[in-house]
Amino acid sequence: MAVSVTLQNAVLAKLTYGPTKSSRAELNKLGLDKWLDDQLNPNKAEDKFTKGVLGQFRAQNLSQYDIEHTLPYSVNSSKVSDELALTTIYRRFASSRQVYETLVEFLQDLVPTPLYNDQVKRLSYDRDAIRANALGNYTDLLYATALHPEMLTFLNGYSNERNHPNENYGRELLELFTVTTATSYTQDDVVNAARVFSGISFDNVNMQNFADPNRHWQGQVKVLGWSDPNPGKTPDQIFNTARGLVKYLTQLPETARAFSLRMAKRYVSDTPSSSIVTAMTTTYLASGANIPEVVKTMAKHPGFMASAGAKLKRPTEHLISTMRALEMNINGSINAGNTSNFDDYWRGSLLNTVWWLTMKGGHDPFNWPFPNGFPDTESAWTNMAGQVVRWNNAVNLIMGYDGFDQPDLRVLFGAPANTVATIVDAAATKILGRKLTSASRANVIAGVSLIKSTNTKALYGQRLQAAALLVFATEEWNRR
Amino acid sequence: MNSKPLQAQACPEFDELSRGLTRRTFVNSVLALGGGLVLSSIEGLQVATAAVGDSRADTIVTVYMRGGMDGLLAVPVLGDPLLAQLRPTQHLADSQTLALDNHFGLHPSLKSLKGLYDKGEMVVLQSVGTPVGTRSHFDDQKALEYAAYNNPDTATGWQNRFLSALGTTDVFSGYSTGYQTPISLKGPQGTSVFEDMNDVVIENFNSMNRADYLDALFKLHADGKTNWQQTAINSISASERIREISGTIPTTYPDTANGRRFSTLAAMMKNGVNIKTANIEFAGNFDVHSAAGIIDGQTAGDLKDLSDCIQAFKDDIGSLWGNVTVVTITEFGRRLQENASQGFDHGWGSAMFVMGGGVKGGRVVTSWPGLSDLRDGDLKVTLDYRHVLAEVMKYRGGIAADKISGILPGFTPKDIGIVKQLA
Repeated sequence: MAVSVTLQNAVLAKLTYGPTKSSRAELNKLGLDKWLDDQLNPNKAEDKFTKGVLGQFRAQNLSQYDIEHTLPYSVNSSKVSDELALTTIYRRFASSRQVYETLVEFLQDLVPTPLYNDQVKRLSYDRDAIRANALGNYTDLLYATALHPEMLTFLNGYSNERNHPNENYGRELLELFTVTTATSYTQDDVVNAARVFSGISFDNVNMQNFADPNRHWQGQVKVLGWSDPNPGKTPDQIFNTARGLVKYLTQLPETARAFSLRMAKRYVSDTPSSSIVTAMTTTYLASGANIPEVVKTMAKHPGFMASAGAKLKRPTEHLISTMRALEMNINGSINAGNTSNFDDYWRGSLLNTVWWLTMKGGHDPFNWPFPNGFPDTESAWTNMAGQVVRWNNAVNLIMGYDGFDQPDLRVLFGAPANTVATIVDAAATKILGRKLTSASRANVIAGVSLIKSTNTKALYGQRLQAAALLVFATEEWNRR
Repeated sequence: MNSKPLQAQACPEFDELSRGLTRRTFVNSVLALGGGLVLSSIEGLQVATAAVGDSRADTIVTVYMRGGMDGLLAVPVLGDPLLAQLRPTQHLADSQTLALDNHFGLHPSLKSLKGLYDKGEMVVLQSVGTPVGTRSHFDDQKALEYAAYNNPDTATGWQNRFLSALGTTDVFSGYSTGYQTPISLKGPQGTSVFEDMNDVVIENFNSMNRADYLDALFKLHADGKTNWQQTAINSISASERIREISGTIPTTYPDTANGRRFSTLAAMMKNGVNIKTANIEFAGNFDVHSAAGIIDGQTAGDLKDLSDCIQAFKDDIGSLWGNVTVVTITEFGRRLQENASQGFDHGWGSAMFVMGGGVKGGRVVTSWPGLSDLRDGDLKVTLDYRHVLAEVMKYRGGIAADKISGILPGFTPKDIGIVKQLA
């Protein structure tokens, strides 16, 4: 059952926000299959975080109605979005259900809305439409997002009605969320998709959906190979037709392929092999668009292991994996000052500082204005902005700037002897789970060797810090 | 936020760095501004920035108006009752516009641009756009930035090919605001991408003196075998040059993301950074499916921001304006008919503005198709945006005519007479 270190490294780098001592132990104990089952088990999937830093946030455990009506969010509703960004970062960093968290991020990029689109609705969208369905099937997830007030606002569904229907959602439903432009569809398909959703909106007080037959386009609708008489005389009829279209689209082989390709591009590489995409597509279709099953097929495919290091981490993933490697503690109280002061209760917290660091990378959660999600390609992120911020963030963490506890590298690296090569190997082993490749090992050693000091103790500490920093800057650590 | 103070703007370590690098024979580096010379012994690295191309050539600035800017909100046609009929809540009376000629007006938010127009420093192009037009933001934008419509396998963007044609070696030759490299800058020529100068200054690492730390970063990427490593080498030296530039934003700019972006570009130019092409990602929301806000809403605000930014940029860079050409580009215009949400769905033809000291301005250039002869409800494109780019590159960018086909493959440009030849 024991899982080789090589497999651990590959699996934990690609399917989590970076290996830790405990994730290695868990994977090793359970074996890949059982570990994946556990990670993607809906009954185990989400850490509740009712205590500690996340337990102190207020909106996340309230219904959408209560968020709007029992908290003073109406005064400054951006706080709900702030809370979502902060809790998202914390979950990525601390959740023991790491595969679930990476999957949630994938889905957050697949059906995204901007953080401050409709601030008071954004948290519920993430929690009730995405997270709640991430371990189910894509049909349910997409339908839940389609009807959520957040999406109805972002892509104008709320004002889509039968005369001059607003095409925004209908177009993106085809182009981004299902078949994509790899499939030929027409303007008629777009208009028909918009008609299907016309008249569907939400009540701004109770946040419940409604469907208004007076605003709904009634009569036969056709999208690709699907058609429906669409009588649209009652809300149920309208919802049924909409559900029918989402079901049709999400069960199409074209959508299966587009979904699998997008997921493979997220986890495997920018140019995944057709063999792994085909395997994922087959599973998608056979399982009724079951999302975890597609993940499992991908993770167990030989092409997955073979792609170790093929994918560039995006800035926030680099930051969070670095924090995990350093076993950072960001569990301090968020209730700085007066806990009844709603407006600023997370100011001054380390979690807030981490959020700020993600902003410097231009990759703070949900801060993307378009419905296509953050770019996820190497060419988009390999630039000066992306590189300097990674170096600077690593300096901050290693040196304990910005209020972070300075990590005890000697302990973390297993008290290596005070020679450069030994220290570099120890740092790499802790961070990457293995020694560096020979070329980058030589380069890191050359860099650390630049430190000159006659004070042995100081020299040791400086070498530990430099080794950590340079390993975090290696291309190997920037990849997964 | 307990952020550390920004790095000092002066650069006391500058000489130390240069010495350090020389001493270690890693890079013979003269990190100077402007026509700085960066020599490297590393194979495959960008080397030696001598002046490239025509030394008189302009800085060509593109402003990507992502989201689909409506050319008829920005540049309304005058005297056509169809506009008001089809856009009952989102049109201007002719008298509300800033008349450009007898046929077209400017949105009143574009007051400063009207000033440029009157001075002959702006030309307006109407019913212009991409040759295909799919109504997809993402496909149209991608195609626009690759600008290689006959070659779907193209992996380089047109602005990078422009730099290749010039033979640039300095990463500041191509610059974009933002955090992600835009497709148009993708390719083998080194470029620089960042939003805020303060964020791309390499912070001190107190366990090593600065020169050693930078040297260690150099050594780490010294193999230069991958794009990541080559980019990192460039990032280090480019970052040191940025340290020398003051990031103070003149108060003349709007206090907006766009104001900061234009001022960042201006700061680099004023400090002698030799930028051949720059891209400003315009932060706005032109994707007005609902509440287009022609009078005092979204569109009116975004256009005002554009106009005020251009004016502040021009004032800020002073005489450099004579060697700048600014081109606005959007992936598509919008449907002629207003939808039920007082907005507009995706369309095709739109408008472009070309501005600068070398522009033959004060004119609207269009082969106007009219509002009756539509393509599936959209204003037609009668002028391919590549004609505009080609002419700007040829007459202002210092690109020989026979090099254009390498930048815009499969395209035969024609002169449309919008810019003067370099003097």
